[in-house]
Amino acid sequence: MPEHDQIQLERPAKAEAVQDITERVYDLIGNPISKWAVAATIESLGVRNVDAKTDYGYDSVFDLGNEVYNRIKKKEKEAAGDAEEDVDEFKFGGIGRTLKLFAKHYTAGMVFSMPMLSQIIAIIVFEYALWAWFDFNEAQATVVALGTMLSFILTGGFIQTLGRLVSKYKGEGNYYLAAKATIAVMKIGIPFVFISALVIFGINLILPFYPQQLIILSMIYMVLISLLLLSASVLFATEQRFMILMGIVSGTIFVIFGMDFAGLGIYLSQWLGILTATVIISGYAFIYYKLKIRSLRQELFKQSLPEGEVSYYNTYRYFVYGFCYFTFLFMDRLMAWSAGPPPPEYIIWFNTPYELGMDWALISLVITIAMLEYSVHSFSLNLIPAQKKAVISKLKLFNRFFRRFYIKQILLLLVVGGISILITYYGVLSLRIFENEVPEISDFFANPMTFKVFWLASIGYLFLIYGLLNSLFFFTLNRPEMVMYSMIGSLFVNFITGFLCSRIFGLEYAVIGLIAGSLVFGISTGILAKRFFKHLDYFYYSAY
Amino acid sequence: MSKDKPYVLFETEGSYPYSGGGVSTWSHILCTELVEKVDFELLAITGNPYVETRYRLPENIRRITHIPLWGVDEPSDYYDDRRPFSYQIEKKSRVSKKVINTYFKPIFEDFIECLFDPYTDVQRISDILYGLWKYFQYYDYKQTLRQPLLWTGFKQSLINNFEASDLSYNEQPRVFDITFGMRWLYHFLMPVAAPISDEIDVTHATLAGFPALISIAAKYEKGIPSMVTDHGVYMRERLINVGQADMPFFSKKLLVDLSTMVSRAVYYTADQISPVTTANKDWEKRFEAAEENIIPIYNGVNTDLFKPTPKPRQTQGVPTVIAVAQVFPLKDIETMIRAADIVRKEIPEVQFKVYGSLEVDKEYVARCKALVSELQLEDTFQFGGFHDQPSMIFNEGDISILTSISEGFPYTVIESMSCGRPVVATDVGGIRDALEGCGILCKPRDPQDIAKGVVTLLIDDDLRLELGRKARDRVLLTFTTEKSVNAYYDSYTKLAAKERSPWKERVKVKSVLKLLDHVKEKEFEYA
Repeated sequence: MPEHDQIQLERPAKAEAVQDITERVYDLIGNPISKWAVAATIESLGVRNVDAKTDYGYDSVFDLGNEVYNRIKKKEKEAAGDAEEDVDEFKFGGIGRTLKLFAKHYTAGMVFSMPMLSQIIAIIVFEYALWAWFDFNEAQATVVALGTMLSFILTGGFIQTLGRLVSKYKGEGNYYLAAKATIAVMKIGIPFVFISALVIFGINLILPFYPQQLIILSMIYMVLISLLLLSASVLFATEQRFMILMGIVSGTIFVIFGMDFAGLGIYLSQWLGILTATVIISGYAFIYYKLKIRSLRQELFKQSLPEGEVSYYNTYRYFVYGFCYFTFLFMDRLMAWSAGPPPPEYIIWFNTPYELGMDWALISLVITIAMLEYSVHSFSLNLIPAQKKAVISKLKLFNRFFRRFYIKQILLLLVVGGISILITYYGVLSLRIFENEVPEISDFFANPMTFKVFWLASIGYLFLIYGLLNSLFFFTLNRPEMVMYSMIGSLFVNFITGFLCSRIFGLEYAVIGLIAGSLVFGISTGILAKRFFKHLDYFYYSAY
Repeated sequence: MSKDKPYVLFETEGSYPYSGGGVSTWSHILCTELVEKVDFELLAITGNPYVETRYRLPENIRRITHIPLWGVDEPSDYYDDRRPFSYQIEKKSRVSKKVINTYFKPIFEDFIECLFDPYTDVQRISDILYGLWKYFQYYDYKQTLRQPLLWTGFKQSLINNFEASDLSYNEQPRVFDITFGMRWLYHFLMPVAAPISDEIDVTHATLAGFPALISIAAKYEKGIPSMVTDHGVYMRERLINVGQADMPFFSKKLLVDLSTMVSRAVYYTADQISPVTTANKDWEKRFEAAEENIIPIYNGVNTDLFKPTPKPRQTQGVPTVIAVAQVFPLKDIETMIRAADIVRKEIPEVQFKVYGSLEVDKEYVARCKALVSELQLEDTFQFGGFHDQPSMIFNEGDISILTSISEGFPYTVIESMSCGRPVVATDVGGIRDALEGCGILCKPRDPQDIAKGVVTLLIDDDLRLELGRKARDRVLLTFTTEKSVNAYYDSYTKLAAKERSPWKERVKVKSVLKLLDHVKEKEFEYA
């Protein structure tokens, strides 16, 4: 064949080959980032310099790469045209998706409150719960309440620290280190609880605030409830919340059994009940970790936690927050129960109408707080899709989307909060129809202080939940310091206001401290949240 | 070099001593074989912190600095683990708005400018990378990069850069590109904060990428000579992997540009670039490697272990073709299967056996197996899976085969050659360096050409035996472990003996000069 004819024949074949390789490269890398990327991809397809010449008619792979790059870029330009996407709002699913999400996460949030609801039901039906009894006198109630409050306050920091560490490692799928972190926290937390009990006992020996018998009973409750709280916090962090309910229910059944069948008396029944719950919950946590670690074969790797000082540095904000938060929750009671008139029997003395008002308001808190689960999930769910959608020339849209999202969450909180306060008020009030049959109900409504405390505490809790809503956004993007400082300030305000009001206007006005503290918490985190959502891109970037 | 043996900083990424694979095997052989002659300090980059050494480390590995790029709250706990954490807290406390604005931001802005133009003056890029290192010796890495004003600057530069470019609307960055882009800077640049030990005589990077940032710093700060080993070409692999990744256009571009500027600076500052093959010179030169510094050092094989032995009983009398390759697309096993189909037509009793993991790409394995049954090759083509005694494998067959579409300098070729089994392989990467004259080179993705090579060797006993002998001789002469290791040892001693002239005297970038003046003043206070 003459050379000329051969060239004529080869040309269409080579043109076809270039077209073919262009399509293959496009399939692999789409819109190419550079000519180099195209050349590298062509080489990775087994095309060498020699093939570039013989099969495609170019001197080298780099020359062929240039041609393929230009062709793809041209194609991309034609496909894109000049039409800019006219996006002026993001939407992720419609109202149906939102309702579905809300139902799912609100229910999950309510599961968290189930252990508490189970205690309310137990006390109404059987008159006993894990650490409550209808027939406790004020001295007994003081003992138990003191133990309970101290257990929450003393373990609060450990619970938050554990929550942070376990969710971090669990999020990375590393159950081995999650278990190690759990053990590390427990190794400090459990001795801390026992030592605190001894220290309080010792202080009471030197400065006898209470009779020794009372303080011993109180410390036993404190230690046992602390152990229960610590074990439950492991399952909470590992999202095995249903088993917390199972543990609590089993423990409660034991209390009923101890009282109604075994005649163990209230103290022993409750202590064994709390221990049963703790053993079930801890046992489950142990098995859960073991199974997870074994199924993922993580025990084969020798892994260790960061050194102590690094771990302390990374978690101390969570610890401080946890401690302050739980102290905050009980501060108003401490103020009210240490004020008069009449003057309290001892430094802190249980006040039934006040406690009933607070417990009543607690129901509204629980019903409202469940919605936070929805808000924070919804936030996390939209974060990356919105970032992928928002081009920087329309950066404002991104910020606007999340600002609107935030406002929607506040409105939702107001609606849910309002409804739950009304439901709680009228729901409990409706029990009055049994007033004549059940004397405890008429006792419940006997003191107007209970109503006053309910209304004021409900309002306070609403502000508190607003602060918690903000806090959850900050925690999601790893900004515990924003929450910690707000909570420290709020605790201080709660203390000062509660102290002054309870001393100037009457003990029930200690709850004003809760309102003031919650207001400060809500406002301070609200101001930070405004900044947070305004610069959400930055906060997302720096969440490492 | 003040001591009797060189002290080498050996820099790895995703390999020795925490992962297996070719580069790790090579690293382990090198360190172990030089146990009497060289001391090593490892700087090992991994993806996450939860790894453990896969090898029994020889005693000449004096220490390991492990830098996990992800999953760590306080990176200084890893890259600077010799100092107490209280020192890191002190470094954090030094970071102020004033320090950032006056000393760091100007360098960071220069860095970003280079990032958007990664083919700019490489001396400038290197100066800036050194400036970053110098800064992080006095100020905390995380605390600095978390500053909002750096974020604002980065964001604004990105917007300005896009507006000035000719990128289309679809190519414009998303918020995702900025947030993840800046996060990548934070993660990938982490090695630039690691301190440099005083004892180091030579730095040796096992790839021209991020772990070698410390080589650049060492060169500037103390004039420590550096060498780079290219197993593949880092940039080429990066372009392929990032190019094919499922991420937005701008993110891909940012990642590749970051790698480009770092890789260019690594080649530029290296005293010796030692690829394992001559085949990648083209790429290396295009990324700033000076030709006179490119001195290939081939991989070596243990010729006592990989030696010719007669075929075992089960394959005697059966024409057998052995492949040692993990089953995944780059090995192009599909082409091997098609070649087997063609060979069977001429040699019906032929057997193909592929030894290698079937776990790497299960989808691809399924595709290969489907092709085997489609071509009714079940009696001819077998997948042997992973084999823990590679030295036994090659002697099972008459010849070996490798159909890769991309390679560096594969061990499997020289191991087979060492066993006196000639190889039919595709002419890609550095295979020609090893095989030319003692095996058959074929066109990649061409089953016909590959089958032709296999048939030629299987039916011509004389040729097969002659090429087998030649292959063994070539290995003994050029590709022994001893030869390879000695070449590295010679390089270490030669580089260690070089007179040191720290490059910091050459710095021209103003922002870096300003920082150098500042830290000179503060040296005493910060000591």
